Amino acid sequence: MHLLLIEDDLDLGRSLQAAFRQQGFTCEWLRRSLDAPLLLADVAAACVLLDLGLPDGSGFDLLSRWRRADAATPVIVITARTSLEDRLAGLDGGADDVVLKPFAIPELISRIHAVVRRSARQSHEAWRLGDLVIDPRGHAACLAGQPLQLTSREFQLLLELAREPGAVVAKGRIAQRLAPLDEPVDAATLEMHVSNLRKKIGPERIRTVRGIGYQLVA
Amino acid sequence: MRALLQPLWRPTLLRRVLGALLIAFALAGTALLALDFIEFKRGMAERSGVQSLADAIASTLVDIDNVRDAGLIVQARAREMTRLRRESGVLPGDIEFSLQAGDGPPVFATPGAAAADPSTHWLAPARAGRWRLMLAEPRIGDATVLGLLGRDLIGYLLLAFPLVLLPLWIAVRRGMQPLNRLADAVAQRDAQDLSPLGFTPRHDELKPLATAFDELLARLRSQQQRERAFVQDAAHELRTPMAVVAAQAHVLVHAADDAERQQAAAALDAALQRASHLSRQLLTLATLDEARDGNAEVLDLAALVQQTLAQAAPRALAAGLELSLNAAATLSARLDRAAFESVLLNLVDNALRYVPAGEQGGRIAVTLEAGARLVTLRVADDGPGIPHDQREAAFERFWRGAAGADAPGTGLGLAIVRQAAARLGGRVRITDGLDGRGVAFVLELPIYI
Repeated sequence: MHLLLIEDDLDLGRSLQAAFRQQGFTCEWLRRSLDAPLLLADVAAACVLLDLGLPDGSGFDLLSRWRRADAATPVIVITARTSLEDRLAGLDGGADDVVLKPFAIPELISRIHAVVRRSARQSHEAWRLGDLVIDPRGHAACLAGQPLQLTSREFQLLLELAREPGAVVAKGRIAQRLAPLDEPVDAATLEMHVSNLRKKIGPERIRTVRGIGYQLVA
Repeated sequence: MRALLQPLWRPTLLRRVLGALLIAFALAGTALLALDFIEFKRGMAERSGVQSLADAIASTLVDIDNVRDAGLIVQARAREMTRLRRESGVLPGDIEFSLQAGDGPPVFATPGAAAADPSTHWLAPARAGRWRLMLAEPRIGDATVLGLLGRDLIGYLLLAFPLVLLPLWIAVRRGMQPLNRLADAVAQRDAQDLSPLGFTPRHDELKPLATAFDELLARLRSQQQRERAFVQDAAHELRTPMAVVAAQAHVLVHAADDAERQQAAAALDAALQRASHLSRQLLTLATLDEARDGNAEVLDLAALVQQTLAQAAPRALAAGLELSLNAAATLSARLDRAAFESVLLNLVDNALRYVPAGEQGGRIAVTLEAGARLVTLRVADDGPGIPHDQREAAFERFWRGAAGADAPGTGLGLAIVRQAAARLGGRVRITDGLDGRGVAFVLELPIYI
């Protein structure tokens, strides 16, 4: 899973990156709200972690700008301001969750999984799409109770499609999300991964909208 | 017994009023008595009571020619007077009467009349035709006169006293009620409630008390607000370093190999140092925030500055910075050592943090001078400096410069410097640094020797 971290504190940013790396997350770290993407829809991340106390402007402004553009990517606000007003302002301002500093890393990880799960409209730790079950924490998937042997890329692809259930996900976006910190995966490679995944979960489950993208069918 | 009587002697306003009233009545009584006495004396000198009596009796004798008749009249009057006088029992002795016709022998005389003379009696002679009447009233001493006059007065005073006391007592009791209400208003307060009493007394005398109390509350309120703000700021600022510690501890526990473990341990160590540095700075600031009552001692400031800079010198050398001191050999001053060291350490620490080592830059120059009335400590550098419009804000707690987020620091150093300078009774200001670049902090302290 890919995360976007916006945090000005050098030490905290570094330590969070190290912790996320251990969890198998990839993470892009920005230190100024100036550098933050204008639209949340442009973000390849499955979840954004936003520190409210940025030196060049409040994280609130960023959050309200993103929410005005109606993006669904979940945002977790990280804040040292612990008053009820501040916490409510974070939630009412469009955050999916508020985490107070100092926090325990396992709690932060659990909250990240929770908001991503909710944005994928899943109610359980193991995501269910018909008889297809995906466990994002365990990097595993089952079909009709039988474990699937998926490569890392294939699992990533499945998860990215499952994050937007029912939606047609553009090819370009998937290509970027599969390699969030690098150049997007090229079209031929993406098609190869999709075709391999189809073989494993059943061809009817991934519908191709020609020239546009793919849709995961439950 | 004494313990039993003690409550009676405890001073109360009511008792005081009672005492004052008693004294007032005693004074008034004395004055009235003196007035009466003077009046009495004057009356006796002008025309005494016995003289009036003698004149009145004499006037009844004018038309009487018969000796026997005259004698009987005077005798009758003498008997009557004696009886009345004895009945009243107020005055001692009898009035003596004697009546003569011309220069002849007495026609009538009471037994003591012959012995009466001016030393023992007031004599009241009266003439009517050929009759010469002489009345003699026994003289009475001044003490007796005063006693008699006093006996009359005291009755009136005793009657007047309760009549005056009652309304006065009521007035005092009612006058105390607003005070009791004020006391109740104070007593019923929550300990945390420092809002104004909002008590407007009807009586002008109570207004200073209510006002003074509200002013005290206002001072406490602002002090409490400052302390709350400090605690909140402190809690807020400690959260990020603690989050780093928590994250690094997690990373260390989950490290996959030795290299990662070592890296994580070093990072955790740095995170802990940052948190403990911040805690120390907060503690220093909190200590300096307390009442301005330092432990002043006579110090050789020159030696103290030299020693302190010697401790910082290795860091300067390691960073490639040129640290210098220009001071007299000795400089005695009486001041709080810890506060002075806080100023110097924080200023030098700031310079070491923010001045980059350059080809021709990287200088930190400390000067210590004693003027006629001021000791001046100056820490100047040729680093990035602080823009003019931010120089005042730089002393605020948790202020970080433009480069602040990148340089490790707590944002408390200059707040500590200002607080410590205030504790030393001096002040600190910012000017331009070396060669028109960088920044210089100037601490000016009044000399107490």
